[in-house]
Amino acid sequence: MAQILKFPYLTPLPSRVLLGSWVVINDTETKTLENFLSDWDPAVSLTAAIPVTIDVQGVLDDCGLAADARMRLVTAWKSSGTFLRGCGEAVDLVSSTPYHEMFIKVNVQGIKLAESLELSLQLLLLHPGSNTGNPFAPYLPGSVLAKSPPHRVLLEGYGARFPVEVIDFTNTRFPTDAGWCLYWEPSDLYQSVMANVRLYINSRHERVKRAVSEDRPEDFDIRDAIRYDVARTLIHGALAVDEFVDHPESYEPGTIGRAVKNMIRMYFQQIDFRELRSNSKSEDFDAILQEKLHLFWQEA
Amino acid sequence: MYLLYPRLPLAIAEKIAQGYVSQSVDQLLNLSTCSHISAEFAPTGGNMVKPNELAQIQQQVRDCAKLYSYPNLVSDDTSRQFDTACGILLSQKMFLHPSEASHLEVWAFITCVLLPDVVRWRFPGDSTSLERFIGSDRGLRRNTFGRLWWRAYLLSEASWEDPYLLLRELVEDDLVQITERNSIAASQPLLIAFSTAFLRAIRRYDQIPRRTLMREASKRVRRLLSIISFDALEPATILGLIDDVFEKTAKSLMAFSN
Repeated sequence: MAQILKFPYLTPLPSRVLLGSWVVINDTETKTLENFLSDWDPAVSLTAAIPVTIDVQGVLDDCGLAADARMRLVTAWKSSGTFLRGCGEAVDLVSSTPYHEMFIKVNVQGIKLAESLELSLQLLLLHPGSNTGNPFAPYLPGSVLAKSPPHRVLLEGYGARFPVEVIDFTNTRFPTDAGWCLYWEPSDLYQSVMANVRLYINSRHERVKRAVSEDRPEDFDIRDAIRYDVARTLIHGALAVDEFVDHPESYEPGTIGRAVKNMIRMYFQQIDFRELRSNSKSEDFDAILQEKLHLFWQEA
Repeated sequence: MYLLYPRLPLAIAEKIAQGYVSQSVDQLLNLSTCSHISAEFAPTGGNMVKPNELAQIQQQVRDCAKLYSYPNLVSDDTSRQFDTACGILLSQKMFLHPSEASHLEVWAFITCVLLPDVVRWRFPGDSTSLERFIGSDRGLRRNTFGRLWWRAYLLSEASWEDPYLLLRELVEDDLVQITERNSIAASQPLLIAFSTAFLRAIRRYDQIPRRTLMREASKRVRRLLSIISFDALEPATILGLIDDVFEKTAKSLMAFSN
């Protein structure tokens, strides 16, 4: 979905809403919420909180709202794996308390999450109150006045690794003696990487299986060959999709489109995606990719 | 208490499904089983489902299908009735949570190992599309059982006298349009409000094709989603906003057609 860059109504100055860092709260301690939860378990709920200071009167002034307008500060969450989203604690704000300082919480059931969790804080308009005559003041209930940047947390270490599975190729459509095969659907790049992309390793191929599971220095060439093959397959596949080439920014974190876009940007910093698609059809492109990946240059 | 289900690697599921797409319901009934050597459970998130519990679900789904003509040819009308009944059955009997249900491998096990005969019966013809065995998007798209579970989960409202009222009232085309739009379906309160408002609007404006009204209203809601956080509002407020969207959509469609 396209992201809105500027709201079509007045919004407050960034200095009106000051945020601290997200913390995770459990029975015994409160600690900084990192971008990775190694001990995450779907059976357990996650409670997080963020400190916030808000200048209520300043927000009302900036937005052209009357003193009797009502606003709501709310925590929001969404998960890339289940595609579910929801809200946590909500605090309604009134101008009789011009400054608010608080810790606002969100409690998310683990069973509603998979792959990653994204937390944010939103300041919303609940009711516009008396008419101030300002034609640019927000008026719809739920209008987002301010929103924090999302804090993304990878669950179970997802995202830090590429989804890899070791299986016997005898039972698949893959050639029985192949070493590996990338399973994905290039036509829908909005799908989640963790749910829809798999690098299958043939369990019957001892050398390849060992190379990916034991990390021995002498097997680096096999790992490099796999890395190159995966990058090449994903880049060629995505560049064949018109929507990807025309709107590479439209894919959310966790999707195949975003992962390939980031990968392309790592190797080809400046180039326009349309130009890259055209270049990718040249005979030299795969050799250029070898160079970008520094293929086989590491000594065993 | 939630249950974890065996996960069948997609590459293996695909190979199995390729061999199943043209077989008869009877043949697949004989090939169905409750286990697969390559299927594995997630390490956390619930209790591993027991083989006898899998056999029970297998039997319950078949019993449900029998009410709608299984193993004989299914008509469009009865297939829709089966979908509703089976979705409710799966949501009540599988004790599955969304985190576990978001893994396509879980649904691949159900379709390719546990109930391939019901897949073939539900989508008959010379051959059944491979997608009905595998699917995509958490199983919500095309997977025979995944889509039913997700629809029942997303559209149920526990506080209502009939929690599955929306599931029963919406037709197949409505359900595909509603549940496959992630921006609306990702939030249960919004999805419930959207479906309720749609059903109310379609009664008031029965001269407008359902599909057109749904599609045009969806576009408006998606535009609003970039500036409004529906999730943080009270259900009645959300419903009021969405009712308004359908009202405006219907009036504009009527004006355009006149």
